Amino acid sequence: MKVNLNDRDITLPEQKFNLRQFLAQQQITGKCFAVAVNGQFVPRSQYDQFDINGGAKIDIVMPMQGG
Amino acid sequence: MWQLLDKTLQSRFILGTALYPSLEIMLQAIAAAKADLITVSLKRSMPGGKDNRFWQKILASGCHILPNTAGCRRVDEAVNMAAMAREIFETDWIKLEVIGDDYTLQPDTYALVTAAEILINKGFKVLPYCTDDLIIAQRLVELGCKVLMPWAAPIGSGKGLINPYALKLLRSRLPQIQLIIDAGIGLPSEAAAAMEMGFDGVLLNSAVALAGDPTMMAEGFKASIEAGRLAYMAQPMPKRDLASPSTALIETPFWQQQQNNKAMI
Repeated sequence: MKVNLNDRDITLPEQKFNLRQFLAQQQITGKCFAVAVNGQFVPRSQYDQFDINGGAKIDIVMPMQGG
Repeated sequence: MWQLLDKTLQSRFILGTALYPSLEIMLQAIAAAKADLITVSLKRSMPGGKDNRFWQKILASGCHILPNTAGCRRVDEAVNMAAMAREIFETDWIKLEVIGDDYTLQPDTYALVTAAEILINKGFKVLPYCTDDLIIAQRLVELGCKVLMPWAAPIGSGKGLINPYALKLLRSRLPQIQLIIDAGIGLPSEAAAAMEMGFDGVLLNSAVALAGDPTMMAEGFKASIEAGRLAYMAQPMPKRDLASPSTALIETPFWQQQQNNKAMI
């Protein structure tokens, strides 16, 4: 299935993924990031319960310089 | 010492972390400013890349973090970004920006008020970046904002205090609210002027980061913000339209003679 990760289309194997599994599959680890799916923030505590569906738009954000 | 919400800060100088020539110069400027509250933002990026270096440097600075919602133009964007910032930075402080115009980066005041209400109800301590409009300021205070961050001029313009009358009005009409000038400051004298008006702090970024020598400029701003605060606390003398001599004229040499000359004219 296809999803969009940080404005880049990627193809995933056809299987069920929750968000935690998706992040592990993409080798996204650590604590200094947060995730929004289809424009909605998903708290870290809900990664196991949150299913990734085809066409999902996933944004991974990290700290950056700001004023 | 400055009690800002639930934090005790050593400095009334809040510094942004953007636009510096390098991370090292950014850290030198933060040190020269003796700022202990700095602003950061969020962007789409993958952990493990060079963006990690910025975060590691910020953590090492020991400064308190004030995340912003820069780039947000809608209420839902700002609310989601604030939630992501709270998770990453482990703070419920949020500098709320909801921008209404791409050229002036002026706040969309309608969206700002709506987003502030939502975030306050979600337990955030909202520091809204707003215009100098008194009514919007009052609405934000009614919603529960204890701090307001009105602009001096458009972000990054360096124009200084373009409407000092409006800023003085905010100060006089909202005596119980912490007011922090945010955006548009270009020179230390402008920061001093804001502090002399009674503003509680100054937040700036471009004026330091884009200076020829950011570290030296940070030092200049530090001095001016301290000077402005001292001046305000020392209760400046009133301005007068006419001269009032500082040296008593009576019994100065030739005083009698001058009086006689005037009588002869």
